[in-house]
Amino acid sequence: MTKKELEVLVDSLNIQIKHLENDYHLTKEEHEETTSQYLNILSDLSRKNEELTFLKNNLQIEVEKRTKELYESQEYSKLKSSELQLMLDNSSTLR
Amino acid sequence: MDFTTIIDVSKNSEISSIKETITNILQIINDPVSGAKDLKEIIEVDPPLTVKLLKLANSAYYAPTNPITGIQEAIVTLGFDAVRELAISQKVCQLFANSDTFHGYSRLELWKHCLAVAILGKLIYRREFRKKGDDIYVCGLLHDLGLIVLDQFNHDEFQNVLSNFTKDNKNLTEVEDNILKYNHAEIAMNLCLEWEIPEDITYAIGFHHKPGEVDEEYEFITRTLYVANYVIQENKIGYCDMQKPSEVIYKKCLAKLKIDSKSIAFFLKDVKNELAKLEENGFLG
Repeated sequence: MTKKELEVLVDSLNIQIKHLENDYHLTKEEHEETTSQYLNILSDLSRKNEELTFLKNNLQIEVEKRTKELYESQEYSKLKSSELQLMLDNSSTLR
Repeated sequence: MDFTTIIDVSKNSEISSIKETITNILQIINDPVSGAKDLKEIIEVDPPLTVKLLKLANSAYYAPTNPITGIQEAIVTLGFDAVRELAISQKVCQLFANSDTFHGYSRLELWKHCLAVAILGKLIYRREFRKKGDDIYVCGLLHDLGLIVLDQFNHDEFQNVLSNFTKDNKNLTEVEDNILKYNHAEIAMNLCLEWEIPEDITYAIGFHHKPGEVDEEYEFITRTLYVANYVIQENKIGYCDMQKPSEVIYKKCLAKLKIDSKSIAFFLKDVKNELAKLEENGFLG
């Protein structure tokens, strides 16, 4: 390889090195940005999951409370119904 | 049709539908606190864009382990910058849909040219100047918007211009100036002014055939656009509107930008690869 050819090759390699360095610098910056965006999405997801769990637990407590209320109200109705029946029976006997 | 009429007609036409997407995305680019969520909001209201985004994110090139079904997930996979480019290019691409060919011109060929100029402009910005190149990318996509306007709203005179362009050994802007008394660069610049597109993009588009005449403030981006346009025309990628591109202006631009002319050859291969990748994924037309 002649000196002239070597100079051309070095010149060309220098250009490519400059291009790679610049591209690498920007790509690194972009990756950092994407990572931070990704982490934001993850934390957003995790926050939403926590909210969901809270709502789910709350819902469970609410359902249990409501079921108990319904059961009590049903029992009360039964009691009242039997009292009423008794009253009706008594009244027919009196007549 | 005179200049004022053609601007009035086009600014109230479907061509203006690209304005919103472009200004919104440029706003995201220039806002340091904006994120994937803001971009997602722009994309999710555009079903064809959503489909293309998901198709690309699930393509063999990215090969995700599990299928990607969400926009935000796709943005993370492809990268914020790539999705911004995709969103702008797909919106602009809608204008190039009609593919009738006459006097060597077709919108599809023009689209290939614009996309190639955008990609090359961005590569020059990234690798020569260590700048992201979002603005030059938009310049590349929109620099020949005036031709679409002429094709759509002044079709007969545009055909006359093209017929003279193929006969005479002149650049398209010269033929337009002779016949219409205005040219496609002026139309695009005035539309961008109407749409309040950032000034550097607007003036670079307006002066993309005469970068020496633009204000010093916008010289950098305008000269880069000229270099990208010149190289793509010289390499016959897509439609060419310069039959005798000025090598003198090209060399002056390279000198002003401090770019070694040997650099360009390295970019061309990557432009062709990028175009091939886009074509493979159905983004070229």
